[in-house]
Amino acid sequence: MKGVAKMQPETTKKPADGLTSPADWLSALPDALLHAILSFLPAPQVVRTCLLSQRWRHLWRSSPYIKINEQDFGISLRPQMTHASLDEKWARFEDFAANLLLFHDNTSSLDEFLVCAQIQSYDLAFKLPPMASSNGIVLAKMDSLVEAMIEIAENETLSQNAQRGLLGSLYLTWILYCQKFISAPDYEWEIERKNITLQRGRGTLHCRQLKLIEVLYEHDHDHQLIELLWWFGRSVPDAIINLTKF
Amino acid sequence: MEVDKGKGEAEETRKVAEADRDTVTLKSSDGKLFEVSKEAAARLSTVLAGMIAGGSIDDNGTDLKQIGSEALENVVDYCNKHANSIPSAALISSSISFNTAPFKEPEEWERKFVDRLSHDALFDLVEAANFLGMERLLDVTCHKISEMMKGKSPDQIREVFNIKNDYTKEELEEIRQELAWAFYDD
Repeated sequence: MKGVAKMQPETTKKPADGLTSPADWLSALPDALLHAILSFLPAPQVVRTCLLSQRWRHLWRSSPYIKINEQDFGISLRPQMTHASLDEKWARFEDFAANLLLFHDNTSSLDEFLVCAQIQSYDLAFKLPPMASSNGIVLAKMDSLVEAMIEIAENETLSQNAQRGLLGSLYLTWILYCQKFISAPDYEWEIERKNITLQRGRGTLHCRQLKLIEVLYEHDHDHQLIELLWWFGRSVPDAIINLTKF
Repeated sequence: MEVDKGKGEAEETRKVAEADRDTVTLKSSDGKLFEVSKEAAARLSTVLAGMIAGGSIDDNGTDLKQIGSEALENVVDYCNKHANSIPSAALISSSISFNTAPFKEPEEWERKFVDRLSHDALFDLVEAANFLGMERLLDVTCHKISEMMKGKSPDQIREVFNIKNDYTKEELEEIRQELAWAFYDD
């Protein structure tokens, strides 16, 4: 794919009337470059490029970048936004994300996957896990996924089970960044750190193919974190564990 | 400059910035010559870096047959500007921040650099950057093209890029129905 010369379909053949129709350099670019260009656009617009021409019809399906951001659906926490309109936008977001994952070509490799949802509204909190995990089916088939990022705004309404569901749905992921996962502090063997919560002994993390785990932490009381990672490292033998202290 | 050094080239590159030339000469498809800082070329282009390291740089002008003089001039210009610009602080703020998207927003001078390009020149530059393995320049040019598409309807995008609509009305309708979840605004 590298350095593909310009294909010049039709553009060199001039119509008989002598008018030179300007060339479509964009569509002539190789898929990889078009994907790079599309990677800067919001996901809904990426999908909508399928309307441009036959050349573009299935391009979005093979994109190695999936980035779905709630902001692209007008979801924000501005006070003037009513619950009803927030609900409606959220429903679109959810529907879009689930369909995108469903119809994305699962034979092409995925370089980047990102779902950004800063759910803070009490009412919406419970809705994220079903969307993000899509019942554990859709994401699970993305076995080529190398990097996933999930960010959840600090939110006490997101239950342990929901958090577990999110992580569990990514069990084939190689690299996982978890931000702001939190948990109830009185749980046995549970170690809370600023960016990730790992639980001991209950099979919380099912990311068996994880290759890299990054943990940011502030303190390590009584070396509990080290101990936990030792346990964790045994259950995920292939993973590299990076510890970063603030 | 006539330096005839057939085989000493590997040796030559080893003596980094010493005595020898610190620029390389590139030759466009139409035979024009351009000088670019060796350091910048090696840093910004994986292909040129490979050629420099492998000693396949020709002092009389390394042939880049795939790149026209206008595009090559822009490539060289970019390399020189890049070499002169002060790299912005905090390349990567934190390894786990959400903002660590692999792409760093174009800097002011990069923006200006691509903004002044004509439509055709921009596309020539994308392909030159791709050919030379210039990741950053490719990002910046692709980003520029994406901005020309952003927020526009399919009709508007077709107009900007001269894309020929080869769908029938029925086909368009079919796609819209098939992907109704992506056309929620309609």
